[in-house]
Amino acid sequence: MPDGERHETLRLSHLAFDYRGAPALRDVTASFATRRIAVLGPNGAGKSTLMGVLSTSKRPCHGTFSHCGLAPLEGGLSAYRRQLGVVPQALVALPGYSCRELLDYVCWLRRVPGVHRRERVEAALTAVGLHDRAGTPLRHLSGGMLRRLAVAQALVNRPALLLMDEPTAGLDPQQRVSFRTLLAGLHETTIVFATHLVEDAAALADELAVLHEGRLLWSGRAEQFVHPDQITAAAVERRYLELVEQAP
Amino acid sequence: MIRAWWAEFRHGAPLAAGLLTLLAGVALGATVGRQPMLPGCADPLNAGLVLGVTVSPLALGAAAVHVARLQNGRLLALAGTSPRGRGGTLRLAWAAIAAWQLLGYAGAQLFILGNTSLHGYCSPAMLVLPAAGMGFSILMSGIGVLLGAIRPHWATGAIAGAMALFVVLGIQRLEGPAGRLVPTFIFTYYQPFLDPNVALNLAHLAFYLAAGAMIWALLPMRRGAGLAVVAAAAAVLGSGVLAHVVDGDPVQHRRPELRRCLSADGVQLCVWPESEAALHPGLVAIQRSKAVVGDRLPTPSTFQQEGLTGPAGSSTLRFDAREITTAELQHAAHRAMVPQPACQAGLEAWFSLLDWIVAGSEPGYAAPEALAIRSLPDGQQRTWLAARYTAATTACR
Repeated sequence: MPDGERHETLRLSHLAFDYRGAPALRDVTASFATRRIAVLGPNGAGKSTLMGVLSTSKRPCHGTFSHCGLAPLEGGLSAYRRQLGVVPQALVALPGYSCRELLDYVCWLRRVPGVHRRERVEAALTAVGLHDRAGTPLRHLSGGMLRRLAVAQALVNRPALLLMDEPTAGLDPQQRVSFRTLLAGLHETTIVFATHLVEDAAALADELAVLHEGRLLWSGRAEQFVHPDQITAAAVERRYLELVEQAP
Repeated sequence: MIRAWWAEFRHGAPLAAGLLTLLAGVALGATVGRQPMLPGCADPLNAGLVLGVTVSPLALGAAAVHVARLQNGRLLALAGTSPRGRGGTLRLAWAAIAAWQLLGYAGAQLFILGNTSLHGYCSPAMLVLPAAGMGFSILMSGIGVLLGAIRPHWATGAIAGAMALFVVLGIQRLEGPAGRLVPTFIFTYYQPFLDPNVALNLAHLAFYLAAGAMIWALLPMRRGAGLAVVAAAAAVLGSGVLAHVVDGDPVQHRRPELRRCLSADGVQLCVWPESEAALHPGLVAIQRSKAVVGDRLPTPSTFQQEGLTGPAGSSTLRFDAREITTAELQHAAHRAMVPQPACQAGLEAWFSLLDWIVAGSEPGYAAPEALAIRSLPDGQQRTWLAARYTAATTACR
């Protein structure tokens, strides 16, 4: 499809962010047309900052962004947040809360209508395999279960845009496979995930954005990143390292 | 909203602080001295107000600790990406803490009321006391949430709670302009015919609610809430000024028609219904005082308890409505033989007359000067009495 006609899911336009003068994002501009976007980069590349900006918890000092036409910085903040799901890098257990209570709470935060809440909570818990742990206090969950719960809370409002920061960190190989299967089933959801694990990017993403020291080194379809016949973790990693090494 | 609030309400710091507040309130309520309280509802409600304000720093500290906990659990960050924002989570935390605080207040208040004899005067106007107290408590928990949001650390709660306790104990003793913003009147006892000053207490309540509204507007901790903050700040200023300009004295709304009266030998005594037991002994005391005075001074024939109005020439019998003793009634009757001047100018003469009456009734307690007058010939006594009576009754005209 020619660029002028393609359906745009996510658009980043001259995004810049700094922490007390230290730039973390520098003029990041990109456009994505698919619903599976991986943000790759080494530690300190600006991935988490970009996720923070996209989740609206950080306000960029310059630039804008939009998802399917909804631009939070141009008056659409509430509508944008309503269709958002966020999987944080770490969700710490809150003493006393059960899984169901946490998801109820998130339903309230995301303004899920009361009549749908019970069904949404059950569906989200089932999707991550925690339906039999609904009443379990969070402090009794293992690290892996907490990661799954973090995903469940992000799905509870059936988001149109799902942001995940290092989503597979802390998961064992079997859980990682289940997790990828879960994401593969979310056909209507745009998933943007930040990772430094190229195998996640290779397995899940249709489009890639490579960040290095706050700059966007490359963005585009995965088959343009490496040859379409070679979309393997090893090929993606090789190309990614080449890019990082060539970076100014 | 209810389910999210309920989850907040029944866990962690809100639950712990709430139970602690409830326990502290009931424990303090059990130790509040009933003996000094006057009949009616005003004094127990005032005691509840003092108590509620005194334990409110607990809620402030707990609120700050709870917000730190939300921050550490990443829930606050998650809320920052939701349509309700961080402000929604902080406000919900405030609602949970404030609900516990109000429960603690209500528990302590009910405990005090349940242990107090409520016979006497109760009026809707007295509800301004718990209203102002609850407004103060809500404000304190809001301040805790704001402090916790600014510096989310458990130490913020501990330090701020301790400081707030220190401040609260201090401000309850404030006098002057700053004291006008304090809702408690720890040394105040409401006479059975007086109501709290509704205007002042409503000004207090407005001040706390306006300050609370300002915190509410500030809680999203984002730019853009400017107009709401400015409006709330204006309300804080306005209600603060109002609290300073309104007359703060207790007022009388109670209707004098409720009196109970008793007459004997041309003398009538009227009292408030709850002091009905004082009617007969009071009348006896008046007759004794009249006998001491004899015909040397004109004495009233109608007497009424403080707060009741009588015909021209009547006198007010001032006695402590808590404990009606013969000795106290006698002293009150002595004082009522000559109506007390309403200004300073006539008081010296009035006290001289009182000393003269006491010297005739209980010489053992009399001043030497009064005993000396008593020992004068009747004519000289009458001249001395007439001069002072004129001064006591005409100096304030």
